[in-house]
Order: sequence, then C-alpha cells, then structure tokens
Amino acid sequence: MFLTRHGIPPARGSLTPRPGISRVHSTLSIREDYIPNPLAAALQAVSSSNRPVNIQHQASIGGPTGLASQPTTAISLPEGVLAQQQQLPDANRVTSSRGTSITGAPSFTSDAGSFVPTLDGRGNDIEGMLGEILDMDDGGMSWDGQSIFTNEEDEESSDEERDKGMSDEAKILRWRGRRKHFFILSGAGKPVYSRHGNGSGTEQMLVSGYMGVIQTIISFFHDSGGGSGGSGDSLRSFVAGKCKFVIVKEEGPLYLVAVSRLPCESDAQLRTQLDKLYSQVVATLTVSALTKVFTQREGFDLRRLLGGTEVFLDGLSDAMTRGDPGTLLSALECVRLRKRERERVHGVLLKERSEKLLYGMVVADGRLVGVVRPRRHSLHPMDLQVVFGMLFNASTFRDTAGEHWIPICLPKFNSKGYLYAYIHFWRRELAIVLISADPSSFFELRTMKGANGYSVDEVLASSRRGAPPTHLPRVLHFLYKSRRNVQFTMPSWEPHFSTQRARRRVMCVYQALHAKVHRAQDGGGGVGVKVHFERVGGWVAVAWVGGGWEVYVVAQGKEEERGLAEAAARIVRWVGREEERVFVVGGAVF
Amino acid sequence: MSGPDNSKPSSSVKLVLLGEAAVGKSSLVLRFVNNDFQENKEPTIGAAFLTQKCNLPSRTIKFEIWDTAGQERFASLAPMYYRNAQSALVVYDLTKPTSLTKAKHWVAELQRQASPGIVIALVGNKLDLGAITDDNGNSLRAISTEDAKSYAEDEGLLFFETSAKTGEGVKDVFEAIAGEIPESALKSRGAAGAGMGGGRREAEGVLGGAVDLAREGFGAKEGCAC
Repeated sequence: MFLTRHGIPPARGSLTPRPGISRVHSTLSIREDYIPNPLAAALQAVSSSNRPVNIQHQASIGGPTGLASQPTTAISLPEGVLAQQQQLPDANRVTSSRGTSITGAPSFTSDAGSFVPTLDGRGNDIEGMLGEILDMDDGGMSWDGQSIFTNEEDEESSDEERDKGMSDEAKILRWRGRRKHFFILSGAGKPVYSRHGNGSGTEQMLVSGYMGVIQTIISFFHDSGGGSGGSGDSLRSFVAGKCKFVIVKEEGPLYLVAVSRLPCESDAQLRTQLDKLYSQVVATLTVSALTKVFTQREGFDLRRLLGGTEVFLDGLSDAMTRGDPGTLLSALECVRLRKRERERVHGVLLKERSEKLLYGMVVADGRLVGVVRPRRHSLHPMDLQVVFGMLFNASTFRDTAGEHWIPICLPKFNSKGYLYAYIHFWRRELAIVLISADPSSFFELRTMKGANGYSVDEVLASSRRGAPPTHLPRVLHFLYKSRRNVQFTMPSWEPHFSTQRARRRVMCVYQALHAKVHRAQDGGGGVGVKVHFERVGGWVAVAWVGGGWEVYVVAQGKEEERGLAEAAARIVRWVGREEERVFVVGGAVF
Repeated sequence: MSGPDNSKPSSSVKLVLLGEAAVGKSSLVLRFVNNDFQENKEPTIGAAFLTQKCNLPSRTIKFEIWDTAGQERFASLAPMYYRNAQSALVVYDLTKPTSLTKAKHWVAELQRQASPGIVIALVGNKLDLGAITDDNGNSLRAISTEDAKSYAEDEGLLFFETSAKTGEGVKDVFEAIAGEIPESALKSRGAAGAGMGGGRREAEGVLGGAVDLAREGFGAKEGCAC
C-alpha cells in the first residue's frame, strides 16, 4: 500500500455538530433592499418576482467558539434588513416569509415558497431526485421559462469567446443558470475565487455582491446562534429553491462554498469537492502563509497571491461539475498495465533514483502508471489528485519542450511547507513528476527523465481505458474502488457515455448510489446500507459495499436485479484476479 | 555539455528571464525555441527550463534558459535562478508603465547580487501592440523607445524592442547576448547547467514556507503571461 487511507477527509472539528447536543433549527430571511444598489438595479431587469430563501440550519449549542470574523467590507448587515429567527419544530416545514425575500442575486431560488428538502428528506426516492437530471435531454428543466441547460455543452469553452456581443442581462442569466458554482471568500468577506463571472464589470459586481450575501448569512448564524453573543455556531448547508449550498470553513479563515443545482449530490460529496479546492489553494500557498497573511491583515486580498493558479481551480471546478469519479470515491485511478510493464517502470525509477528524490511518479492522462517512494512515507490520494489535476486540467506544464520546477505544498503530506516538483511531459498525455525537499535539486532530478528506459510509447499505448466488459453484455459502466489501495478502476466512458451530457447523467446515478451507501458520513445519523438497487431512467443500477471494496454498476433496464448482482460479483472477482494490473500495489520502495 | 555539431567551438550559456507577470517572458522563449506563439498562454508557475542553440559565425552557443514566473510570490526564488547565470533578459511590456518600474528593480537586484560579469539585456516586448492606436487615436505604447533606451545606456544594458507575437527582434536579442558573452566566461563557466546555487539563504526561506507574502503593491494578477 503506497497510499494512506484516511477515507473521506475529516470534517473540521469546529464545524461538526456534536451528537447529543440539542439543535436549533432556524430560518433567516433577508429583504431585497439588502442588495447593493447598482447590482440590484442590474438584477431587477431580469428578475421581478420576490422569492424567499429558506435556510436550514443546525446550531450546536455550547460548541466551540471564535469562528467567523466580523465582516469588514461594504457588505455588512445594513439597517432595514429584517432578520428574524424562528424556532422550527420540524426541519422540513415551510415557513411563509411574506414580504421578506432576496430579489436578484440569490435567485437560485425557484418558485416562491417552495422548499426542497435535503437528500435525506427524500427518503428512497432516487427516481424523483434524479428525475430532473435524467430528463435533461428533453430540456425538462427550466427557470423562468428558459432552459437552464441551454449552454451546458459550452461550459468548456472560454467565457471570452462567448462574451462577445452578449448583453449584461444575458450574462447574468447565464451566470445564474450555471449548474454549479464554487466560491472561495476570506473571513472578512473578500472574494478569493469564483468559477464563473470573472469577465465584465457587471459580472464581477454580481459575484462580489453574492459573496457579500453569503458572508453575511454565514456571520449571521455565527453571531446569533445560541442566542448569547455567538456560541461557535456555524452554518454548514442550506437549500434554497432547487439549489443546495454547502459551506466549509478552513484555516485562514477561508470559506468555501459550493452551490449545486444537481439534485443527486449529497452534502458530504460537495464537502469533499470543497476540500479538494482548498487543497489546491494550500498547494499554492501553504497553510502557514495563508494564516500569516490574514493574521497580519484581515482584509488581505488573497487573489494577488493566487495569481496564475486560477486555471487549476477552474480545471478542478469544471471536472467536479462534469462529475469526477476520483473525487466522488476519494481514490486514485491507475493505468491498467501488465505486471511486467509496471515493474519495468518501477525498475527504471529505482535505478535512476537521485539521492534527492522523495517521490517519483509516471502519470498518463491523469492516471498513475508507477510510483517510487521511501519506505517510511506513503502518499495521500488527495495530494496526488491535486498534482494530477494541475498537470492535466490545465496546459501550464504540457509543453513537451520544457521542463518545469515548481514549489508545491502537498497538503496531506505537510500543509506547512513546500516541496519542489520537477515536471516534464514526454508526450502530451504522459508525464514524469519528481518531488524533492531540496529547492536546488533540479539538475539532479532531471537526470531521471531519460525516456528510453521507461518505454514511453509502449506505456502510452497501454494507457487507454478498456471497454466495458463484453462478457457482461448488459453492463454499461462500473466503478470499482479498492479501499485497501485507495484506488479505483473503471472502463472507458465510450461507447455508452461518450457525450458530456450522458456522462453527467451516469455520474448522477453514481453520486446518488454513493450517497445511499455512505449515509452515515453525511451527518444524517443513518447507517449506510451495504447493497442498494435503483431503477432509474431506463437503467438499473447497484451499489455494493463489501470487505475492502465498493462496486457501482449501471446496466440496461431490462437486466434483472439478480442478473445485475451476478454481474457485480463477477466484476469483483475479475478485479481480484487482476489486482496487480488494475492497481499500483505498494509501488517501488527505497 | 553539448557536443559540437560542426567544427566550431561550442559552449553553454546560462540565461535567466525576469520581469513582471504577463509581459511575455514565456512567449519570447517559445518564439526563440520553437518559433511559435500562443495567444492567452497560461501563466508560468515556478520556472521552466529550456535549451536552444544559437549559431554565431565563430562559435555555437547552447542557451540553458530559466524562464521564471513573474508573480510576486515567486520572487524569493529568483536568486536560485540568476545566481551563476551569465546572462539575463529583463523584460517589460511597452504598453504598461509599471512593468518598466519592475524591470528596473530586477536590473538593480541583478547588479547587486548576480555574478559580476553578467550580460543583461533590457527587452521591451509587445511591439505589435505598440503600433496599434485606440479609438481616440492614442497609441497603446506607454513607454517610448528613447526613454527605455537612455535608461539602458545609463546602466550599461543591451536594449531591444521585440514582438513575441510577430517574432520581430526576438532572434536579435539572443544573438546579441551570445555575441556579448566574453570568451573567458565561456571557458571558466562552461558547465552552466551544473550550478543552481546550493539553495542557500533565499531557498531556505522558501522551504520554511516563508515565501515573501508580506510585501505589498504586487504586480498585476489579471491577464496572463503571454
């Protein structure tokens, strides 16, 4: 085992409500005149109806204290805002909040008065949950009469290309129609990152106004929770209309916020995604630097220090919006390779190893080919996912002519200090990454890149994912995670899920299944089931958690459950036989 | 060391590029090494290392190029790259006044801390943009050739204006630097690649997580290093 297994990243202590402590459910309503004026004017043009936002909130009375700092920006609670707190005996009860609404920015909300319960609240109705996503092809989801998915396929083309000739109203509509938003803001409410809306002035105003609202909501719950001058209460998630908001507070402090319209994602899954974004920030800055700048000056604009790394955050955000199995499973994917071929790669890494080397990796298309490591150190999949994301989600390092030398922090290895990474792409989809603690070891590590020994082209040729198993004709796709190795494997998306839309749909099924069998981690108090079947959208799907593994299978709807269970069992046996081809077991150790 | 591909003597020269973010350092290198140009190039992270040969009438120079990131958070790493360098390109964007100010800071730092004989070229990039006028008929150029040139002469720097986009002037810069490196420097410092400084004071500062974050007035974060 070369990967450490901490499973789902632990929730920060201060954010976790303590079991057994009584909880307060409360509702916050904010009136429209809360929005800063120019922004409100711009938004008024596209939204005229008043919509309430309902916030589900868990306060742990008597929990840790000293969380959010006071807002120091222009966005602070102005007079005239009606902020009322009510005791709700039933979390799912809808309170009518007549005359109290947010117009404009937070129009993630849909029909007035509607309240979409959280995942847990829906019971077993995955079909209902997935209905909207699965109907996407029919343009079934609309917002104010406009389909919100009209520009879905565009999401990878750059905003600049599409911005030409687009009116501000259209941009705002587009911004609000995004399936997902990721925000990072400082404790003082300053924008640090937003995936969308960095283009025109109007958009930026929209985003900073929005972040101000979020910051206000966060600090409202912090300040007022428990009643006695703030008692360590922190807002973790809420649902407004069709949007789920998940908030994570990290060191700094930084607040990371995910806003998702995708009904299949659980709070825990969104938290994992935010943890990954945070890891990217830490990889750039280290936790020490992060806390230092904010200690020195609360209102520090962190964007200045992150400059140049937005592409990595964007790459991660987009991957997680498309649906990323590695993030979902918190596991690493490896290139399936003959044992002999993998041993040869490991052999070269060991033979050429520089004294200064800490970790060495060969990576193809975001998947691990081989790894060399010291006996006493293992790697955390999150660290590798962040590194692989930087390599393959952006084009920064992908010029085959250059060799790169970057300071990088591996958050789970040591969040306080930098390591140095040598990065070279032999081919556009195949790279070597050599990590050292010595900032001046570039030329020593560089000697390890000699391409001949690694049989670069052979490795590249084997790096394509296999087709779905042909001996199980009705199986369309599967995910298999080995918990022991903290790795997963899956067949190619083709031919059944070659479009982004199809892939998004099947990922949605996986996310819903994953939420079912990992319910205990979602703070819902339920116990995760071991096997879960689901018939949905013309498919039948199963999640099955066994000893040390998890398997998720999607098959054609005519497959019976028994047949699907057999298919899943065969996949488990197959991976068992092929373990050393499918996974990197241990890696090369020195 | 590079093997001679003809009878001419061949030697390596270590060159470092410095300058504010988004002035076009990587694009200059890309033009020189691959004769290529990319619009909206992503910013350099850390530093990139590239090599390219330059044929002079009397000898062949193999440039070992450190293309450093312009973002301020990497500034403390710069000594690692310019220490032992025989030449430096200090680049500014001739449409952006602050970038010349930053370039002057780099020149001062090099004169203070780099090898005494280092050959420094001041390069005003984005010459193609300098030829464009906006709607009011004003040129996008913000730094006149004369101003920059007289500064370069005062400091004893080579001076060029280039366009990585069109290629104008790019080759001239590297050839001029190659011609300017004294014969003696080539002999005494042949193994340019071997020296990356032993990671002394500056590098240790970075290892301890103490990248210089306290400094204010950082350069532009917007845009990209073209």
